[in-house]
Amino acid sequence: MTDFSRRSFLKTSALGLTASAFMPLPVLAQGGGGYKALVCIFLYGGADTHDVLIGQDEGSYQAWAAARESIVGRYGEGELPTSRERSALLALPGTAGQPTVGLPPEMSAVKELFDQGQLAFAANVGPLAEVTDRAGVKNKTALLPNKLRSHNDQQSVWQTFGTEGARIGWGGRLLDRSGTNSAYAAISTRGNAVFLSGDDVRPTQIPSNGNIKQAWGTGEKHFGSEELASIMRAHYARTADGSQSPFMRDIARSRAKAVATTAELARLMEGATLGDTVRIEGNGLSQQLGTIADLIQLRGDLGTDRQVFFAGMGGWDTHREQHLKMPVLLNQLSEAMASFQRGLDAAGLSQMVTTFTASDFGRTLINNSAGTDHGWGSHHMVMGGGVSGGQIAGTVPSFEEEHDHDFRRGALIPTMATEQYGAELGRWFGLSEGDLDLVFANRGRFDRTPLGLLA
Amino acid sequence: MFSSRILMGAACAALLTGCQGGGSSEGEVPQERTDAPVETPAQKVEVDPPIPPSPSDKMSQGEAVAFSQQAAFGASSSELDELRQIGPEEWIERQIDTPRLPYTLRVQGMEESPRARDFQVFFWERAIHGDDQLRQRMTFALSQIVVIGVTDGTLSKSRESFALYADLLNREALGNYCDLIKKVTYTPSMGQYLTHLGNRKADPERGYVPDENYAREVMQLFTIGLDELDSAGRSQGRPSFTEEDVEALAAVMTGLSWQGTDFNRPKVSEDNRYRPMAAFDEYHEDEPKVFLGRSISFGANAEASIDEALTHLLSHPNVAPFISKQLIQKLVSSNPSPDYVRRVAEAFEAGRYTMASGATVGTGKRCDMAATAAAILLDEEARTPGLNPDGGKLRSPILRLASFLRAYRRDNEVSREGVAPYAWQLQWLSDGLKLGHNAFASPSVFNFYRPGYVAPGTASAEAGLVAPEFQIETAPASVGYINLIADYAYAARTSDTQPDMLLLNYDRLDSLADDPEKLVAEIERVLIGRRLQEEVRQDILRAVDLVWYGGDKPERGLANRRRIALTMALTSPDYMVQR
Repeated sequence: MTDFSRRSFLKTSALGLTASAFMPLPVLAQGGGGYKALVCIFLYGGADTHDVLIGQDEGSYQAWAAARESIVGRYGEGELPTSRERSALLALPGTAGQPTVGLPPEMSAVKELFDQGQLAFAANVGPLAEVTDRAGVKNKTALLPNKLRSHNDQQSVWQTFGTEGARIGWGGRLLDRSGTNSAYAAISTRGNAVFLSGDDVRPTQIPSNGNIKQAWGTGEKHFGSEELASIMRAHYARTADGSQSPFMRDIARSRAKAVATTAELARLMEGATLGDTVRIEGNGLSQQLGTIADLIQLRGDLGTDRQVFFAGMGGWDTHREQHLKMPVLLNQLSEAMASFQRGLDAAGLSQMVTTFTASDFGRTLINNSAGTDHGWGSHHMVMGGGVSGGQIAGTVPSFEEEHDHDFRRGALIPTMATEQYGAELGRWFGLSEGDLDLVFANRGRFDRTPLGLLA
Repeated sequence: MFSSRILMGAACAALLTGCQGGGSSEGEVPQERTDAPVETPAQKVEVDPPIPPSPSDKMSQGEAVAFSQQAAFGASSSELDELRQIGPEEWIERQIDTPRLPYTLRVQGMEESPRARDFQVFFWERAIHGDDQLRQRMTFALSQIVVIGVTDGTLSKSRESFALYADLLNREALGNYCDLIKKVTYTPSMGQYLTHLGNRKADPERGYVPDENYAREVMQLFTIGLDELDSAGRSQGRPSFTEEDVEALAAVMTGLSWQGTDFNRPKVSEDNRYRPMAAFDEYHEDEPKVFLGRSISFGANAEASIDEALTHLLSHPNVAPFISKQLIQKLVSSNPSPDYVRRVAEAFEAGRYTMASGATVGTGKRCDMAATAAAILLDEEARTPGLNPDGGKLRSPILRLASFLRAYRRDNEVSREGVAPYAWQLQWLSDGLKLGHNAFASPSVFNFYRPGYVAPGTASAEAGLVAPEFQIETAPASVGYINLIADYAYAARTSDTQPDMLLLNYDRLDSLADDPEKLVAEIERVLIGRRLQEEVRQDILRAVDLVWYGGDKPERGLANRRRIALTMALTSPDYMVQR
């Protein structure tokens, strides 16, 4: 158990920050079993995971390569020259009846994690209104999710199960059910993400590299005057609750919270060192994961033993120049994840943190002349000490044209619903089956059997 | 070894000498600040005293301030005086006739290739110093709908071509939206951004099909949206286009590339970088395409196919309400009433708006932007705060900063040639520790914030309202805004190597700073347009009073008082929200 509450709260009071709705007394989560954190890495733009799990047995490889003939040979041309030759792939163990797949060589760090049992794949995940297949789509008998292949809507659907405008994300909901109401339970290093908003839980944001600046005038003195500094703090903390305008009330509250949490985090982050061991220069995702590592290190001071973090990586919408862009993206993702895990391992935190990827959608297998277009189902990674690594959960789809789950041009109809994927993570996080049904409202439409991704 | 630095926001020294190398290197952010005193410049600039309100004014001072925040990037004291006297209708008429300042000529006047941030500086020059305020404001609104992010990696290889896009927006900002869409389709920087430059017809042998990127986004974001809409822009619950329509339009958008060079290995040069793309029929899909119910069968004639497809798309009844509502959101109010949207959409469709005086605005051609702008700004819902209880909006960080800088600017000519002027921090604004927002800098074609964004856990969400600008109101950006205001409220830095564009004139405020009540009233008069929330006002008065001035350099203490008052006023909800 961590001894955090009284000491940090008293320090907060000494800064003159008034106790407010943003700084509640820390509450221990109901889930028990010590501290746990989920880290979501969102790949913005729709990641071409057909370029991650690549057909590796001869037939699968031929089909994969044929579908992308005009780009397959070009992967040696970019700033990170690589190959998509069959011999270059890092083969993963297959399951009878499914294609064997391999990772591209630039993802060797992920392959190492996989081999060490710390990373697993979830195959062909995506939003589903109901289980369906190609026949259902072609005959128009299938109920399909709305606004498939619209970036902003699918980003929202992955995070909330609702299209753009939805307000509550399942990351926030997991925290709601865990009984935490700390202002620091949900933290994003990548701006606003609805994923982290719960019914009660309100996320906060931190700069991606952890470099925090405090608001002008909120030091001990301002222009030599303690009283003036106190007025400045009161000014920033002032709500506009008497105003007719909801926007005025909202901006006042949001700003007050921003100034307060920024001050608190700035003070706490002074003592953080774990991020230094994680951050890779020039790798934006790694900068964010380093900041998250710092926050995890500080968990004792943040007053919660359940946290959900959100990091994001852009650039995945590879309609063009796929052969130049994907190697760099995949390598950065792979290196950042590995460095993060190694840092957590060294700090004895392996069992406490599970990292997972998500994305708007996957992409078409058949390319356009220089890239790929929007798809639907995609493959994802789950990483951590609690993961049953070295496996691919779910069903690896065929690479043949017009297979059972070919939506169009090799874009996949998912065979694992995001509810199933999310519930697997939520179960590890400590939620009961009943709570999981509340967080993932449509879970009953899909198989509730655990996927075996997490021990 | 990384170490987290905690910097208290405070101003740098030296007004007249460049601090720490200024903005001359990519990625550099101004560093250490202290509360060291500042040398104020020796010469004082004469400031015209404000003209008192008169019975012949067409607007009150408060109405003028509110209008300047909707129709322009704010206004100086003397500009507010003029606006009060002539009223909004005549102001709009004069604005339509005000000449614009082309980006292309400006870029051609540079010796070196422009960087992404140079375009941002040119934007800010025009926003702060330009006379064509309505056009600039509409350009900014359009740049958030028909988006190209100048920091995109692909564009970095031929960034000059961005100037063509900026000029197109600028020209059509008070021109014609439908012409804009047709022309932007041929603009190379859009071709690069949404990847239809070099897009080829299907190749059944090699198995590839046309790139769907532009086809999808031109429908989803630039013209009709995802759903069938009613005349007030509300979803009817049915999709407006299918995946087959995307495929068909993708096939239409084939065969375009840089003019006058090889389609497969194009060379970008002075001959084509400022020119529209050309159609290469050899690479255009010659099979007929069925698009939104219309058969397009011009064979390999790319221009004819594209024109037919776009004309058909732009004739969709969604276009008027879809675009009108978003423009209202950018200028006036996030949640316009259905009738307000309808009235503006009617002006868009008719291409004409009749003002109360009987004079008309617009050419009578459908999609007229001047008519639409007039309809938005002169509507009773825009001119009468509180008429719609759900009216108003959170002002974006750019608008909050711009109207402050414009109000206190030293008048400058917008630069015509040479290096981009020194703009002290304005080129770094999209940094997460500053505003997290800048012009032309969207991280994707979806703009920094979405028209339909609902802010979780807020009063506006509770009330069923959208609040787009809240999407970028993160904790770091919120604090970044405070610190940026505090910086500019003190003094501008200057450069030894570049012309300055951001010198500020606080003489009137400083002359009133010995009297806190007068200081606050003056800020209210020019920036807020009404009395601040009483508790906020009291805080400012008490705060100013606590700042000492006197000794042999009283101007320093007065400058500090001014700085406190401005920072507190500009971070008050009354300023940050427009009603």
